[in-house]
Amino acid sequence: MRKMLNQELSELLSAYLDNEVDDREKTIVENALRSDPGARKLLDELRQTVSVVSSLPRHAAPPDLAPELNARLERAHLLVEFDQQKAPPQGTSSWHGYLRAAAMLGFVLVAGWWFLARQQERKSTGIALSPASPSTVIREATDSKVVPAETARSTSAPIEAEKLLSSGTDPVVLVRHSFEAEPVRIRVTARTAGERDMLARNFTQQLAQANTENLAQQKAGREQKKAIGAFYLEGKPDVNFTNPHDKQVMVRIPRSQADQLVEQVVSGSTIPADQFAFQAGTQNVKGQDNAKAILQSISQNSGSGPPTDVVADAGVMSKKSMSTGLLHTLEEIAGLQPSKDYGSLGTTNRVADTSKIDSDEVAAMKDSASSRSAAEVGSPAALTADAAMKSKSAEEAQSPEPGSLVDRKLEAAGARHAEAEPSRAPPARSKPAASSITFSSDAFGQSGFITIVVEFGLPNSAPPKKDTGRMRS
Amino acid sequence: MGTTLIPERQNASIEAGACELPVDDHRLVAQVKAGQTQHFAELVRRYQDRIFNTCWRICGHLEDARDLTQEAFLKAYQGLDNYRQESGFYTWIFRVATNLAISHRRSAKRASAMLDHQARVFRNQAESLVRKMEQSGFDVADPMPDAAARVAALLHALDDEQRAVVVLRDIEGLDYQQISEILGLPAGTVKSRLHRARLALREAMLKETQKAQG
Repeated sequence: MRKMLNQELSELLSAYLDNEVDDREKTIVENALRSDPGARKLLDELRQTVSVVSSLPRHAAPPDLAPELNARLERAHLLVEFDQQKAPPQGTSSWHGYLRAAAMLGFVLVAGWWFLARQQERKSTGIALSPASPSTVIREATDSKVVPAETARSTSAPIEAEKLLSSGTDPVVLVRHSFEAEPVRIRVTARTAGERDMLARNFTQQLAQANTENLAQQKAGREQKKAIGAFYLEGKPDVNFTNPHDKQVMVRIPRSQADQLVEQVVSGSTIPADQFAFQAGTQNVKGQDNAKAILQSISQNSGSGPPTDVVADAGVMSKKSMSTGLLHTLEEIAGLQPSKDYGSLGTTNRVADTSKIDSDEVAAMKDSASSRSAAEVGSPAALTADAAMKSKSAEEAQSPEPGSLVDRKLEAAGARHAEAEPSRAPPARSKPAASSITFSSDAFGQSGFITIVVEFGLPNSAPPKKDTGRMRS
Repeated sequence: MGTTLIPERQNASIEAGACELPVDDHRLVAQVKAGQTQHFAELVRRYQDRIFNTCWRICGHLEDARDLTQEAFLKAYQGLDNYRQESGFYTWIFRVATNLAISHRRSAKRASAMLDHQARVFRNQAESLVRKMEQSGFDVADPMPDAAARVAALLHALDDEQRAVVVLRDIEGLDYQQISEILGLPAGTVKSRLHRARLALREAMLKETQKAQG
């Protein structure tokens, strides 16, 4: 018999221990055990090792795991149902497939009957026939999960939304479908549940304070423009979040204040307004770092330590960069003081003087601007999500570690934007585009507010998949 | 919207080892696919403890294990259309959970990379302090007196692939074929990887023992 290599015999000993050897291998092992003390010793050691490991205490699943899972599955059902109602069924059943096939073959009467029947069904359930119609209720399910549009457009929208949140409406659904806009989403990933709770609580308290001050100023008759208004709507634990462990805070800012912030930032810059590109969205590392710096300050103020990751995902486009305004809003809400601490990451995070940008950053932006191709600047059309996505490859040298959570989210957001904008041809470019991810006029909807959802979650809890379908055609 | 998909657990029990008959799982899966979603609750009940324990031992954190367990079942539920009945449901859910746990651990490692320097500084300071104390004659207590905790730490120190096979084999009691299906590896790779993991654990335990003996 060929002499076995030590490594082969060694591996066979493990398999022998697990009773995972065939007859031939078993014979080899048992012969070795009889004749080789080293083999016997190794087998004993392996047996002890396995015994120790297998004796490790086991832990039962927490008793609340199943109920929470149930809540998540219910939410998954809710979103699937809504997505299916937004678009005509895609042959989900043979009956529907037959009807569409019949229509294609020219059975006009049957198809017409089906169409009219669907229209009637949608009317009775309040689902929009024409999403662009401002008077159409986006969705009015019997369980009242969605704010009616007229409520969303009213000045009392935040109060009404608060009531609905208390009753169990998912804030993401509420924003997307009721305020006719995609929320700007910022996700803060905490390391532990305790840290998550502390970050969310601290942020909420600061928002509440800002809200109180803002209302007081309004009562005093001062112009809204002079205050950063933030009506916060705190997500409730029993709301069907995508991940029930997340804590969500929804911030709504009046449009006038958002524009003011943008103007303050842009007017103080030497970069032309239509070329200004402060990228705080998913495509720009500097913007992410800025957002991270602000949130780190929030967490440091609360003593809980820095979050492990931040993903800022604006998701909508505009001709101006709102991202800076967003960060300024968060900064002011957080009560941060002007600080050079963010200097290495980006220095637009100043409370006292929002009209100036650090000269280093200006220089960097000017360098970036000067490297853009002519086709990419000057026009809002050039500032597209698609261009931003395409520029990602050029920015990968600056990007976080490949394969990181943030990087994956960059790719995911870029893919989502690509899906949403399939007709846009990528601009011919050899240099990074002056892209920006900002808020479009759509984002303000009819209500004049822009909405940001700040999620505090844990590393493994992924943000909800963005619905690229827009409510308005 | 009021249908309860999963009833609340009445009794917390640890199900170690025993698996339900595959045929029974297949029937439940078929029922869920047919729209009787309430049957998914039974599948959760059957495997949540084992999945939770697996996730815990792979990722190392109880809270994360809870999230991962939920995520695994959620993904399994959403991906039931892709479930092939050639392998048992438990093999499939184990695969989902194991992949999630390993991915999570890798993400956590990258996310914490920026804190490594600070952690090293703290560790060096702590070790320096311990050395000074020992030199001064203080009997520095074993920071991890609990044997199980020490073994768990050694398990946690293995690389992700090795830890996964050890958890699935030596803790969850799955056979090589099942592990092969779960991890998507040839059986031979499972065998050699498991053996290397055990050798690594053995080495680490011997070092711990020698250190303890002074």
